[in-house]
Amino acid sequence: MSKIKKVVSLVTSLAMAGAVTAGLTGCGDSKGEDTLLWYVFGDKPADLDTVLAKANEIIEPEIGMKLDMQYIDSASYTSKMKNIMAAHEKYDLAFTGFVNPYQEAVALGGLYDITDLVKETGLDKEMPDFYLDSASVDGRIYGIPNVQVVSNPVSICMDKSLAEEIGVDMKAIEDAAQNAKNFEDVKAYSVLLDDLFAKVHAARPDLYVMNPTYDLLIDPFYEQVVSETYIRKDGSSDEIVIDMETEEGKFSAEKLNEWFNKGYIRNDISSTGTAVASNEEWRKIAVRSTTWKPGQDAYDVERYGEEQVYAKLCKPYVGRTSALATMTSVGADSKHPKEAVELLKLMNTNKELFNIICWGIEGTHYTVADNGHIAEVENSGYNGIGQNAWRFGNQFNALLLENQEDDTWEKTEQMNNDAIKSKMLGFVPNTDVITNELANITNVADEYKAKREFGTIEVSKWDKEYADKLDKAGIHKVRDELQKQYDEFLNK
Amino acid sequence: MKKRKRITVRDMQLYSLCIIPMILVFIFNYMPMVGLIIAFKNYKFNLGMFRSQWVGFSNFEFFIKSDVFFQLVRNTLLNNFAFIVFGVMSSVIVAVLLFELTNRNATKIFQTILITPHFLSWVVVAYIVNAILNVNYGYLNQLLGLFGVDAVDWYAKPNAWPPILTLTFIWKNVGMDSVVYYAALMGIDTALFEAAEVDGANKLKRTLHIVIPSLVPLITILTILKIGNIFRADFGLFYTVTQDGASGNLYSTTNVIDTYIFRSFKENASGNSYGLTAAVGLLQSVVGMILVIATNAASKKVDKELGLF
Amino acid sequence: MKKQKLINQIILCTFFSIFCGLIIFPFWLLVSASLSDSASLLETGYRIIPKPLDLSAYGYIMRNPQQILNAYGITFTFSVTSMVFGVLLMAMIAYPLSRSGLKGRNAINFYLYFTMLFSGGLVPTYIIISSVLHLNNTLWVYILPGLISPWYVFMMRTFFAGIPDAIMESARIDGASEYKILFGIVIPLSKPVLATVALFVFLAKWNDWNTALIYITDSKLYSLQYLLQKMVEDINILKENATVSAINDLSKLPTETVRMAMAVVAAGPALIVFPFFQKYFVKGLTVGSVKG
Repeated sequence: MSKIKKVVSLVTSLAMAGAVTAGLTGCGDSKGEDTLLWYVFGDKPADLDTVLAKANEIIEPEIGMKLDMQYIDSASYTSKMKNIMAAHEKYDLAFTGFVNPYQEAVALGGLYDITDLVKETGLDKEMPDFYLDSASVDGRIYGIPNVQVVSNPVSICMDKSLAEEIGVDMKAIEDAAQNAKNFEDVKAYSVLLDDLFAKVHAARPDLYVMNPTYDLLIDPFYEQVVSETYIRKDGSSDEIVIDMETEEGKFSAEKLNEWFNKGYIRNDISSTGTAVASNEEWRKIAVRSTTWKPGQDAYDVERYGEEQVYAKLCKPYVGRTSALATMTSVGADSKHPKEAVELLKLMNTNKELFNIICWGIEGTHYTVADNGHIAEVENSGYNGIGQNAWRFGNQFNALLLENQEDDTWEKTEQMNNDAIKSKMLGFVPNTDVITNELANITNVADEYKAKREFGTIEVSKWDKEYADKLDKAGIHKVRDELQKQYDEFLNK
Repeated sequence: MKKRKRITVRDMQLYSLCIIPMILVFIFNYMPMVGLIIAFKNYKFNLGMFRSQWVGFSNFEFFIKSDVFFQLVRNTLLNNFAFIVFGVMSSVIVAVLLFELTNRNATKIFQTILITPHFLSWVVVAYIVNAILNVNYGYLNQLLGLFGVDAVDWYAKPNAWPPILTLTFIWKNVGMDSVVYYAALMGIDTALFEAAEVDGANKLKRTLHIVIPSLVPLITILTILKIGNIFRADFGLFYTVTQDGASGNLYSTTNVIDTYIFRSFKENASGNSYGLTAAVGLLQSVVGMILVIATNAASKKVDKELGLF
Repeated sequence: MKKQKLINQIILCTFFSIFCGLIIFPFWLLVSASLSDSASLLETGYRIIPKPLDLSAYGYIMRNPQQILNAYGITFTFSVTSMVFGVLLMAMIAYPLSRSGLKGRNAINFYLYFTMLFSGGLVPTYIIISSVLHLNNTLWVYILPGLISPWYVFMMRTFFAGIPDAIMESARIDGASEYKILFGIVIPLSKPVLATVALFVFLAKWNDWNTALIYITDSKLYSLQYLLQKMVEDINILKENATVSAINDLSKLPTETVRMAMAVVAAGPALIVFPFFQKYFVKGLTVGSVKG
């Protein structure tokens, strides 16, 4: 064994030496010094280089640097960006949000503090305040939300023909939900849902009645804070509450179980993990819980194959993290943060540039109709980029496709601006002191996911056990800590 | 052989053969091991491995003090134990039986069929398992229906899953694993069989006294190697194939160390996920090493020639 | 006696036919699913015989064959290269380790084995491979890391140790160097184990999707299995972020049948390779008899 020890110590010291030299040599930039590197997620379009050359005709005179865009497929975007940040590879801009989560990247020290640059370049003037409020972490900004719809209300929709056939008053449901002030109102609203589901079930036994993607009795009224903690959307209370400790939470679990037992929810949902994973599956659901935004109607006709009727279950609402779903950040090791922010400003203000990045070159990649709407040229080598324009900057600058209404963006902007803004905007809880508790709570919540979210098992059989486990995992400590931090935030 | 002797030219030649492989191992395996210090740190990207703050053993504490620690260790150990025992048994049996087949073309066809599942990733396996077990249209439930048994929602029956996972594991690996044993059997000196036949030994005796013993060194080594990883669970099998423990219903038997760690940081990856993951990995390694040294010593006690080192 | 043997063979064949049937059945479900249309798959689940037969999943894949063919080329190239270099280098280190008299043998064994238990973790490995060696987005990243697998080295070592010493001893007396013994005697005598390891290395590389996930951003260098993984993961991202309204309308995703077809396409060719290796297992027998 002593030989082994010797080998071990030798190897360790060599490895240390190797790693230290490696750390010292560092790495060089492959692209030139005058190029900004921007990572976005998605599959790389074939014609990217041509389009970038065109875009650089605008970018270079403005900021004195060229742009190089790197697409990373969405399947690996998060993990690749994390490695890039961890290895301190140089890059200037990157998509952050629902992939490569912003708050995580900030906490791990992967992003550049652009608070001053944003003011210097005047980028902050280019969007309503609540976007940057959402993005601020302890008063500092590490990324710019890509301006797009952030206030979609939780909704249900169903085929118009079916609604007419069984005589459903969606407006009544909408009003009941939107005007619900207290638990009694929620119960009254749930009766309407019961009635709707029962009718649908009787008329179309071949369909699943509903999908529990959104919790119809919680999500319209509560905003999630962290993990299993929630706060009221209507601002009537600043108290942070725990899901199953609220009247609505418990009631919702019971209702879900009732609906599950009546066969409204697909019975293999615990093994599929979700009610819907494809367009085909969407069509097998009668009352679809989803969100709504201007332009949704036209889109849904295509998706579900028929005109829809909607009930918006709450007023448009901008939550604490709504704007954080799609952002662009500057890399912590960027050598050109100023130019990077200038480019971001350009993407928010220069419509021509933005549309080159989104749709490519007119004539080659898209054609413009008389009314100013565009059509993509099929197989042009630059397809499917502009539909997800929220990856690049201000989506409201994007040219409209043929089937979109003229005022889609105006309406969306209007909805965002008029929406109720969460009192929590700008509140970023410091989770350092409750890390272990949050990890444990996530594990417990996952364990009860099928029971709580899909209603697969009678509530009285598990609710006490669940409450016990959550308590042991530290849910009350988490709640109290969050409340303390939130109170401090409100007092500021 | 244990006499001290000088290093000869021949020895130098032998050492020289080791150089390139050892350098490769050094670069790709040992150099990154510097990163093990992350296990004792609160790792931040901007500070890097060396400048991140030391936190002592607190990353380890998080895991050991967890409420479900014993459940995790039990599930990981028992499932892996079943995989090793039944996996080795089935692949040895398959190899021995294939060896008895005299028609080489038949052997080829059977072996090829047996390894097909090896090519499927766990995600695809998960689809297939669902096709068999799904409560509505699963094949197993259709079969049960023929016998008048009501459909069973297997994804809600935690106790059914250790056997299901073991079967899935064997299904995916038996073909490939038996290839090793089969190749080893091909190396057996046929003179031994002829001698046995002269002595009038029957097939069974031949198998028990010649075939199986010739596999023992290989079985021992491969098993020791596997024991070293008995605290590591195959994430794809335990997470994907169980459909995330069928949204929680199966955790009591399928929640293992690796799935636990994954879930811990799903929603809060900023909470030193790197440090804690590294800590758990290190712990798995250390325990694995202790087990390996113990089994290695034990198998050497049985027979000096056995054992890994 | 002869009759008994024949009966035994028939029993064995029957057993294996049934056993293989059980093994192949789930795989067949997959093939059948890839030949179904996606709507009926939702309706009835997987069937043994696809009804109605629908080849559109393969059509979808073949509509843009460039990417798949390219991935085939890439995967084949790095699999074969890894196989050749891997077997060669592992035999080189396994041979000294099989010599019981060699000093420091245990230490080298341990040096190798240690890496099976301990690894530096993702981030430091990434830093070495990407920032220091700049292997990301090259074919080498598929080949070099993990080229020396202790597992296979030990397998070879065990086999080499079983070669009768007398053969090598006589070569030594004739003055052959150790290199000559390895390449001239040991390797030719060890075809079964070399073929086994070659097969394993080849198949492990063929099944590799993780490397591309971490190190490859250039889609021209994607491996075959990663392409498949990517399809499935794209869907999982949608599932996990079902409540992120922004991505509600991400471009159309391939259906389940396409994923199945892709799995079949990815596995198929490697199966054809297998019998090629098998030849050497059979040869092992003849070598064994010569040996005696």
